[in-house]
Amino acid sequence: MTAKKVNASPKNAVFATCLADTLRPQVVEATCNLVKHCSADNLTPILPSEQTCCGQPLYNSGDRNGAIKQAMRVIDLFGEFDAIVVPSGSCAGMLKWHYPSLLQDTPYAQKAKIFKEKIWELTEFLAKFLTKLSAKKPLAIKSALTWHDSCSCLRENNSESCARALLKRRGFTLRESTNREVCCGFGGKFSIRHSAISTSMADDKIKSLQASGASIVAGADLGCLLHLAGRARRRALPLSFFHIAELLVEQINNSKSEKGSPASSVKSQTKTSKQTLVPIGA
Amino acid sequence: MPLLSLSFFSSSQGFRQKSVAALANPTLRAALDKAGTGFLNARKKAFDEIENSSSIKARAQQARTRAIDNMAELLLLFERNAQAKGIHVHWAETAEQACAIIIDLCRGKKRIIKGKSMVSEEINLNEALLKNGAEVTETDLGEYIIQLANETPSHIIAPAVHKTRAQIDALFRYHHENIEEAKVADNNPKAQRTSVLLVEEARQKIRDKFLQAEVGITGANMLIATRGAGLLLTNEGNGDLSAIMPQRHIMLAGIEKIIADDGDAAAVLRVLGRSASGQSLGNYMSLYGAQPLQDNGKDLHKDLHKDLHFVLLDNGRSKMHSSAWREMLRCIRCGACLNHCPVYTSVGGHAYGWVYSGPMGKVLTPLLAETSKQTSAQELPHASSFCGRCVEVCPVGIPLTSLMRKLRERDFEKPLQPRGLKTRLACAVMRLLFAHPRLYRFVIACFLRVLKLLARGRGHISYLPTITAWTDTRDLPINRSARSAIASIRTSYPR
Ligand code: SF4
Repeated sequence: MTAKKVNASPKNAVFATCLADTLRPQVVEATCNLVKHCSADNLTPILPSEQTCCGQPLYNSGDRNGAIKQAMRVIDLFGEFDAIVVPSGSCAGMLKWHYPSLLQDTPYAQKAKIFKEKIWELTEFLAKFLTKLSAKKPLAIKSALTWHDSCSCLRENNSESCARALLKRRGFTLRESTNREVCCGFGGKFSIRHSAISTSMADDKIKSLQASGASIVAGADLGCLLHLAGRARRRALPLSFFHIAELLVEQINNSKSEKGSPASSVKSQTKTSKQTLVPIGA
Repeated sequence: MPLLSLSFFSSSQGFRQKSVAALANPTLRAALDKAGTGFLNARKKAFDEIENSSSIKARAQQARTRAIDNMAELLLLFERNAQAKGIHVHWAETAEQACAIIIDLCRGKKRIIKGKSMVSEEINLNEALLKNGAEVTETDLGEYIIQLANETPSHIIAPAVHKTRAQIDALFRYHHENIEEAKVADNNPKAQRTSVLLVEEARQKIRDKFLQAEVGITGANMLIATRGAGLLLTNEGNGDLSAIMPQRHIMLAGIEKIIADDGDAAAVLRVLGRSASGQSLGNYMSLYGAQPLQDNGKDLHKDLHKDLHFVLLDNGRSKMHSSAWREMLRCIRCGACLNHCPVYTSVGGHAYGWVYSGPMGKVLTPLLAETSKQTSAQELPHASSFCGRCVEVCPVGIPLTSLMRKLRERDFEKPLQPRGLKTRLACAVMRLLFAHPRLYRFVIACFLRVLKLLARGRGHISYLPTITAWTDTRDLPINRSARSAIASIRTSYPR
């Protein structure tokens, strides 16, 4: 990959993703804080309030024209930034790999090519720029955890080594599961349209995750995590699920040695950030 | 219309119902589990062993692309070269035509043996032959098993992969009455026999058929244009016995099996066995039609008295050639995409309703079946999480998920049918909300409040009326704060 510059005073933005924005705002908040932490002058990234969704649900439903319109809207809204950080492999893959092909026969073809170069899947971004954290800071999670590879991180963004490097560098104990390259069965509308198969795939995945011996699962895609956590919870299994942003940001929050004044850090108006880490669905 | 070939599409039971039934069948799950890992490990090892596996795949893809790009010319070249050697070439546009040609070639001959051929399954050849009073014996072990069980193949490479050894044992006991008791394990008729004993028993049964057969029908892995010859790869040697023992040999193949020359054929061979079963090559590889049968009208093989007929089937392929799905014609039927598909390995091949299953079936079946009124095939491209593993393992680089998505797009553009209503409605709502971010925010805010109410203090809900397909098997984690990130984070876009 060509090195992208995120120096001086770049304009960074966070693409919240519709799932994280709606069902797990902690992930968006954590992403903003981590990006801020990574920027040279502690600049808060922009979180455009007009953002909605990357358009993947339309794209995968066969509504190509709907997806094209949405892609154009997203490019219009985010095009001016230098780096766009996405806390989801799947949405990052959509923005990065699918937009150029969707828009190739439209007036946005060139814009899509430029846009593609600015997209960072979160773990990819952090692996490169999250250098200020020292491994000595207290860990949010002390016990071993296992990593869930999403298909998009694995096969579209090729960023599976980033998350592992990040977690290890921060001192987390990582235990690998089996069948890492097998899909968990989420697949967006597939999880509803073919719910029985999707659920069976979740069970297979949970079995593999449990084989790691760890009871905490971290991932970079909220879709997979909601699906797996929802299934594990229904089966009353002792597994907890977290997005990697939530785990890493705790290290920033836990350390008050940094200079950043509390007032300038990205904080939600709700009290969630003060609470201890709550697993997805708990 | 190739309705005959689609007769085992059951319109009453679509993929969804069949997949649910398959998931609830523990014997099937056990059989699939057992077979699954074997294939994967073997393939991985076979490609890990060679240094330049990616360039080998690229070369194979190039060979197949060349074949498909020049399909018409190469087929004509093939025909000319074959005919010059006294080999007959028959063209069949539809399944019915192919069946009729073969029935004609079998006229006056009763005993027919077959090597494995998925195209013969595609055109439902056995049924057509049986109707005409012929006696047909499948000689590939897997095909033989499913013929006894009166089933259809559930895998293009391993047709009986859905059967456990215990089931095969029971099937043989039922059908093989005169097998010597000594062959039944250790004088204990109840004990389950080993695979070796089962194979030996089938071999005995099939051997007689080889000796008596009047016509042999096999498939072809490739049709080499510059030679006018068909290439056949098998592991059991049954294909060669089927070809050699009877006087007449019929090679049945789809027209996309064409390949330019020996060099391109070799390029495909390098990936075919490795992708299919982890073998560098199949156990037996033969060329049929490589040697001339006649010279200037003189019969060169009088003593053998052989004749060879190629039956080349279109059945929707030339239509695919000029469509957005042309790349699918590159497929070399290796089965790797099936073995690596988490949907296939969960439900098995029968749920797909036709001979082609797994990712390649999700593309091929709706296209080849499109002239029929069958609607069950249309669900197939939707039954994918788009995990992309099939694309990763396909040795000839077919973008299977993109092709499936294109089929979804074709479905979406069709005039509104009741089946597509839900999707259309969902997309219309999404389009509206995405175009109006403030409306979107409002709807999300309401939705989150409703979820919070339904959760009654918990972090998840167990029943949501509109998406019971989710909550029937999974809890839905909710957002306890009931505020979206955008709504709650102060640093919002300065516009
Ligand atoms: S689509 Fe590719 S992987 Fe699947 S059977 Fe065909 S060649 Fe093999």
